[in-house]
Amino acid sequence: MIRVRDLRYRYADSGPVLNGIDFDLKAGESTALLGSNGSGKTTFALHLNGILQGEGEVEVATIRVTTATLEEVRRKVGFVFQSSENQLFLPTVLEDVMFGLLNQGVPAEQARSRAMEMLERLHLASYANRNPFHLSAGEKRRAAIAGVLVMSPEVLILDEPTTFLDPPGIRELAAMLNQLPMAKLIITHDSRFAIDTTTRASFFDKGRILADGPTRDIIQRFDWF
Amino acid sequence: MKLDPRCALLLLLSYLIALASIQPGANRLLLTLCALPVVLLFLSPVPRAELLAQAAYVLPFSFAIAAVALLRGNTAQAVFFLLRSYISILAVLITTKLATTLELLRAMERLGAPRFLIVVCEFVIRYIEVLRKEADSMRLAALCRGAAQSKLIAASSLGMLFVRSLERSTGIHNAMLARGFNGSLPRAYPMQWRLADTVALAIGIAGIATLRWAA
Repeated sequence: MIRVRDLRYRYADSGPVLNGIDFDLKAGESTALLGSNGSGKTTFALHLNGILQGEGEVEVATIRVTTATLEEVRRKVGFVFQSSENQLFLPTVLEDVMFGLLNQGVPAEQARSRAMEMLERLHLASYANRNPFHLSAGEKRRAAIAGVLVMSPEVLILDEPTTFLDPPGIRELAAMLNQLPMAKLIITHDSRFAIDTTTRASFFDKGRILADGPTRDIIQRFDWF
Repeated sequence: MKLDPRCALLLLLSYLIALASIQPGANRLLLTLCALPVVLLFLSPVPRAELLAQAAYVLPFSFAIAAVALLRGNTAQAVFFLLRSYISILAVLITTKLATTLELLRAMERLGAPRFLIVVCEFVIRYIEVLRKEADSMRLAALCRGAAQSKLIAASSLGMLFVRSLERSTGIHNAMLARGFNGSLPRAYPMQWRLADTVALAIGIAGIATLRWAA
């Protein structure tokens, strides 16, 4: 589903952030990206739907990520950002969930009905006409996820999804993610959450993947509790 | 029944043009046109006292023009300028209360205002609250570290607020790109112009024109 070879990237105002990443993700597989702050996890993930484009090869469902293929790639890769407030920017929850579908050219009526279905699935239907800024942190997170899931991506990337969530909120999120059939890439510092939601983990350090294997083994190996 | 915001904007524009075209000295005509927003104010479900007070904010600015007339000894003309600017702002404020700001912005876009400008305005409106929260949290953090002068804190934090705003705008832009944003915001609720809007617009413009030119 995702194939990355020798990916390198540096920001204009810093040294290299990614130093030759090789990575594979199979369809339906759930993988955690672990590692300290600044190790390159988010920078790496931003390459998977072309928000950043470095040197090397990135392929999503056999499509090479280039400027010409961005639209197609972004249909396949859904990205839930760490800050839900950044992701929710339209005046109502419903409009925000419809945003991606409308960008894909789905007619407004159909987009509205699909968005409402998704909100119902995530228990947010009663918030459809509320301003997203007035939701709780957990509700914002679910609304942000709804806005991505409604686009039916084949790969779901979540960047620090447990940030600002209380323990019941984290458990609820884990249960929800485990029901989703698509491939998932979860960037997290929460080792418990990683164990609950993924089968595999890659450990990042200084822009490289130091190790890759079963989530529990990787966490134990790097003492990442 | 609520009018299409485009209809409301066109009626407002017609009214403002009619008001602006009155020559100083035509006091009776001015008073006749002034009656329109006043009647609307009392017929509409709007906070009357609040709007009457808010419209007064324009007076210090229009007083600059009125002062010239006063210096020339023409008190009637000064009052004319003040009344006309006050009533113009009152009409605008009533319109903004009858439709949401976002509806009015979208109506402006549909009437030909540059889309880029409208999108920028929409984002500014949506994120003012977020920026206010950022500013509050920075102020609180400074107070917790012993700062006492909140105005000084606000001044010194302004630069940092801009940096945070830039970070936030980059984050928002990335999130939009990830969901297929291609430079224009799609509209979830297309506007629908009905027969009632056409009738209201025709009657409204005819009424304003009659009051202005046939009186």
